[in-house]
Amino acid sequence: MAISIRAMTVAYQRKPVLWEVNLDIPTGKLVGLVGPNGAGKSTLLKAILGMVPTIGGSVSIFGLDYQDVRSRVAYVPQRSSVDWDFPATVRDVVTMGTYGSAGWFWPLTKRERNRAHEAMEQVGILDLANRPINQLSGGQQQRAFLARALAQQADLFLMDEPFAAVDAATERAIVDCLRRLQELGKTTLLVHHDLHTVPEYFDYLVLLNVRTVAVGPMAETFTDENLQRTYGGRLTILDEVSEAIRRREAARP
Amino acid sequence: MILHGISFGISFGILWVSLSFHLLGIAMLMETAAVESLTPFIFDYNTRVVVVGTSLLGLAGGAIGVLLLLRKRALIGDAIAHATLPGLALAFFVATALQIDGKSLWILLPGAAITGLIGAMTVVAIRTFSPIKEDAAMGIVLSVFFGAGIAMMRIIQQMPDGYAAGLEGFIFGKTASMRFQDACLIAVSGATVVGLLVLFRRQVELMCFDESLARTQGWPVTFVDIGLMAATTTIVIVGLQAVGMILIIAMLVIPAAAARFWTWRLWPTIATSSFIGCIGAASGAIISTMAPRVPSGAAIVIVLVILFSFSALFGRKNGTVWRWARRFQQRRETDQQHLLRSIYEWLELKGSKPHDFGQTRSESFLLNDLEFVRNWSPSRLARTANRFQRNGLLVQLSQNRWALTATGIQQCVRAIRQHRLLELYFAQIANLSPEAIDRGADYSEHALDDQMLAELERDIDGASIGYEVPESLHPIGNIQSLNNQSRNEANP
Repeated sequence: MAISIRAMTVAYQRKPVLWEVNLDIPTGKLVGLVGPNGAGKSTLLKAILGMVPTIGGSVSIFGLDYQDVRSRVAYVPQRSSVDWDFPATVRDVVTMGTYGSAGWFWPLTKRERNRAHEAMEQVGILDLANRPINQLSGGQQQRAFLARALAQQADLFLMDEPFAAVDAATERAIVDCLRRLQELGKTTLLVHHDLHTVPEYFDYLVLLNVRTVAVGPMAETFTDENLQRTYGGRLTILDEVSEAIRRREAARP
Repeated sequence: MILHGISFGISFGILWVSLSFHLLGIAMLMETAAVESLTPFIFDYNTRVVVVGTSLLGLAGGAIGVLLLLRKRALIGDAIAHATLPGLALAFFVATALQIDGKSLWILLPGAAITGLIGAMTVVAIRTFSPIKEDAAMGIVLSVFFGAGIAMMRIIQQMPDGYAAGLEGFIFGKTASMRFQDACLIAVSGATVVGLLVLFRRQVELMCFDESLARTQGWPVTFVDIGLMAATTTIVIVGLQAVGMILIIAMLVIPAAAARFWTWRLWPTIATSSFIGCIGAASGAIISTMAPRVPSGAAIVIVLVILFSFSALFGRKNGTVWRWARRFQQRRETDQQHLLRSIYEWLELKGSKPHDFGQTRSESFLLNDLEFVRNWSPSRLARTANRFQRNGLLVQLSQNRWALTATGIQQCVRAIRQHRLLELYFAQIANLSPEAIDRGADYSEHALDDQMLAELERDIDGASIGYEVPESLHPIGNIQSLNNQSRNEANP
């Protein structure tokens, strides 16, 4: 198991955000984390990384404590979580991904610089390497973040809404990149909003609304009933989704 | 790439030089014969002490200021500075009660540091444990501590011994009282701060840009943050005497803000900020020794503001003057292309496209006849036409009559080709309406270079356009009627 969570509860000022979440994610899957606004998706990622205090429960990653596998986990925060006016070039930002393995004081070696170079190449932003980050478009920013995570050379990637407000080309590039990672046996857990593309992009699904509603392979989990339970009364979304499911089933032989 | 490497190397160099500068500064202060003979300064020994001391302060303050600014913590320096006042007063009370010299820095500064830190921690505590935001918390702490300090100062001034005069120097700054030991204190603290900064450069960089990444990589973010606060406090405390608690914030913020107009990378920003801080502080101190009535803090701030204004105007990155110049240049080029285009369209309407007949000079025309530029002011029209004449594109035949030269014909064809290719692109590939394509092409054509033009040709159907000018997709000189027409179609 890449991630296994037992009875995790998180609360912000007495209001529970995650309630007794149980979750097992097998290694090598491309996993979508889906749920309505306020369902605790971002919080779940942060809780896995120990960045928010939990009230109870346990997390193990690759069967170990997070502290012991830190270097094997890469986190891609929401794009808006940093100040893009920071004085840095794309190369600087991507290179930051390698700092974790670069030691405390010594200058970066060729190994780190090469890793940053390769990561930029993989997401197609090598030509932007020397561009200041305040001149990037939203999609380019997201690619820079992805490259930074790749430069970390982790086995587990946790991504918080990488597809939010990016152009179609970037979405394509990110999906391709995720597929390549999966072929290499890496695991990705990705917060996603657009239910239409969920069955196309992922092969494993976590439906979350404060509790985990359903977890499993896409075909078994992405059902009308489960989505009904996740999204409750939000009918407009639901109608769209049932429409999407019907279309998908009609397309099947 | 190589250039980046060099600039990076240089800025790290500057940081190391700044480190050794601190040590050198100490040596320069020694009144040894060797230094005396090596430094043909016009200043006397005391002035030299003051100048070296304050410039080292500016160096370290500029470096740490960038990080505070990037971490959106600039004002915490101000809160710390104001919170030192009650500490100074308390230390003086205690020392007087114990019958020691209350004006010794070794007594006053620790007192200042203690209340300064308490102030900073109060801000953090209010922010963490109450719904009040950081700015309000800072306002509260700053005013309460400073108010308490002022009250204590009043009491001190009314004390019978009455030898407290001089403590006010800490409020507005009084470099004249800086002694050799004080300068040494600044040099040593500054060297420590800059040295630690160089040592923990990556951790600090990560923390300032993206704390979550720093945490997931396992760096002790809280410790680094505390370290940054401690460094800020140190600089503020040792700078109290030189600039005063009210204006010390300028030493942290202004050089950092000015440096951002010169570079878009972190370490060059820090090096530039240090440099600006150093120059500002040194010249401020010199001014204040030459005009003793001017408090040194004020003099330093004035010099820093001048440096800041210069940077904001002429800074290589985003300086206002360069921005204006770019905009002006762009507008000029746009005007030129528009004029060329309207000349071509006029000739096309007349049925005398000059390149079709291999002419070396086009048919003559009146500027007022040209459709597109008709709403231009006469001076703008004349300016553009005259510039063309200087560049050999146009010749003036009589008062108002002009003709294209051979080069002019070439340029004209190039301009119109660009515009029409873009129109084709918008119509065929982006599927814009005929109404929109002209405007769309108008907006984007000025940014085209040759390579993009070649790519455009490849993308558009009928790639064999070659050097021909494509036909216009809309009636020329008749845009108004086209608009009316499409409007009628929309509302039958």
